Amino acid sequence: MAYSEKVIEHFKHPKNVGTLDKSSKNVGTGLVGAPECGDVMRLQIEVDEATGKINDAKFKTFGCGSAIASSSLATEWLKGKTLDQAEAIDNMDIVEELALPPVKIHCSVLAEDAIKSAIADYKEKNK
Amino acid sequence: MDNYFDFFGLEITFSIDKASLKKQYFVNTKAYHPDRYINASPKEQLAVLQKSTLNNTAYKTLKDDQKRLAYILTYFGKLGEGTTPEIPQSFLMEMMDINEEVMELQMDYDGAKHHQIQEEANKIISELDDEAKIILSSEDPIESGDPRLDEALAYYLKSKYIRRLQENLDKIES
Repeated sequence: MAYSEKVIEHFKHPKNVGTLDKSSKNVGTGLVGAPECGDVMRLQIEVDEATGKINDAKFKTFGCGSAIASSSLATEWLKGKTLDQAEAIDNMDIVEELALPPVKIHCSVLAEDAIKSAIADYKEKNK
Repeated sequence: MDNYFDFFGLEITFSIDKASLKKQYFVNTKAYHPDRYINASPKEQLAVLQKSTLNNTAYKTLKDDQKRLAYILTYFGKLGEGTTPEIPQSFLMEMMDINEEVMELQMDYDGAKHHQIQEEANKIISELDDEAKIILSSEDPIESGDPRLDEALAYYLKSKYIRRLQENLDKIES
């Protein structure tokens, strides 16, 4: 199977790989896995409390090229978005942007789950 | 619905008698050999060919412990399309940490560290195997809604992670 150029670009030069302070009140962490492939993905968001917008996003993914590309793209998209806008990101948007083949759609689902879970974690901390 | 176990005249169980499975496989191989159906109608020949293919696929699946387990879990709707199996957060965290160590190893090789992570992975898998032993060695027929299925699923998913990890570890060279 051939990866699209965008997948390869994100895979070779992933954006926003790293870690944010998990214990910080304005950081939300999502940790999700795709057991069938043995993938694990951690995605974190940092929210600017004054504006309510996400000012930073980091990820670390162990998995195939598509999983890495999906999370790299997701962190790019998250920056500057409000939580509501972030919540609205659909896995099919990722599929379309990266031209993922059907067998790799679950990688984009994983990224969407990671976003939702990071937002949920942030909201839980800031109830 | 026909399933692979049915095909070999077996009940669905976690553990199976591989010797008798093999015996039945060879009996089937002979019975569905195309040479025996040279004078049969095309329709009959096609039916035999399908049986022969099923015989091969079913045998390959059932004789392999991991494949058989995956087949059972899929058959009972615990795995595969439409399912979203969940992994405990604590286990995912453990996998994240150990994968991070592997990544460091890839960038900066250290033989002792490599060995240590391999030992760690072996330890996790043998603990998982121990936990699941009673269920996986059981010859009691499985029925829909059987609580053992959930435990078997948890084992299967976790062991997938470790096997993947072990593959990656084996690929690392100094």
